[in-house]
Amino acid sequence: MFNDSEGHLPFTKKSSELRACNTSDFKRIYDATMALLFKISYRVVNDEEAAEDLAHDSLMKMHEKELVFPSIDDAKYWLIRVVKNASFNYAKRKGREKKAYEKALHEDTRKVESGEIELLKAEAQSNIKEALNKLPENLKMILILREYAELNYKEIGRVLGITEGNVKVRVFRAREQLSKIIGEDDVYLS
Amino acid sequence: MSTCPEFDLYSVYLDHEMPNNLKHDFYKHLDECAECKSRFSRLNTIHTALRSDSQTLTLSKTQTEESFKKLCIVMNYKAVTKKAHPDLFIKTLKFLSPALAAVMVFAFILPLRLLNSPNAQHNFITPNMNASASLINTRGVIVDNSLSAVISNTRNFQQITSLDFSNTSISSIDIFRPALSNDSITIQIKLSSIHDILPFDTSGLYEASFAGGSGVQF
Repeated sequence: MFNDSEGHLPFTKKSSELRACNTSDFKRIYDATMALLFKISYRVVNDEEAAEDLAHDSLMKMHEKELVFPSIDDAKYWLIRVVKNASFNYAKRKGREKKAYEKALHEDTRKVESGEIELLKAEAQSNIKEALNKLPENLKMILILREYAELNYKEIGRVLGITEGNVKVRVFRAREQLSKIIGEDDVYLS
Repeated sequence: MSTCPEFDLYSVYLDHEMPNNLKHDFYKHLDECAECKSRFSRLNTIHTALRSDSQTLTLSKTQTEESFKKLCIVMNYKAVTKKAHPDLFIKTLKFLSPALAAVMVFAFILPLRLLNSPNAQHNFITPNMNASASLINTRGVIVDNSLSAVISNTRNFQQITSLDFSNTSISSIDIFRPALSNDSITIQIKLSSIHDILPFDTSGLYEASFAGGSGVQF
């Protein structure tokens, strides 16, 4: 599966450099990023198995491309970018498939307003995760990177390719919008 | 005069991104301003809730190791299967197949469609302008060249209908029409020598109309 770095590579390896095709470097990158990638992906797709697969896919892609990173952080940013895009694509596809099935099978999508469902709805809507899913894609990702991946503004800027100032504004807007959504739900529930 | 800070500063403070020299003033303001305090506490609630949710989404060491084993299996499997399917061939095929399909359409389907269209008939059937008639055996008349050419001539060139058979003695004419043609056609035949047998109008022309592939016999 892996090539050994010694004697096989055309260039000598710098001490801090990480090569995706090298066994020990790959394991190092894996250990440093897997939990993070899983967390980010899971918050987007809301499916444990899919999140694990998507995180694996990003790592495999890195290995196949035989990428070389100057530091572990660069590897982390690259992988986050890949897993973020893959997760959003997966979530979109799943959403489309769900709609298509409902249409094809003529499933009844009307909601029955019973006491029990009201209660469940109230629980769900008061849940912050539900509110997070209602945010637009770019704001949702900003919050996921800030709160779940625990990246600082500078790092988020590097992952998303935007300025630090832009990150600051977006984080604030995301929180404001989230608080508004939760607030609206509270009104609805009362 | 309001001295409340910009709203996005709450967020910056929460994320520990505020410069140290501003922190003290900001915190002091929060203590004094109730509106800012409630705004800040709302954002803080969201921040705390998301962080605590994040804490529940951790992979244990065992889970991480197991996941790595799974990843290795998939990668090994991929490495093996890759050899069975040469990438270059598949890539070439992937790019070439639409191009080949397009070439096929231009080379075969489009010419066939053009040839089959009714307007294009004259392109490959050359009308015979000089069709002549002659007697065969005893009583039949046949027009030289193919029947289709004659039919086509009859339809497109009126002069063909006035073929002159006056110098020959004809007792009967059989007209056959190919079933392929659905258009109705009219043929006028001058019967100069049999006035007493068949009724005819003053112009001396006998008219026969037929359609749909049926033959008319005199």
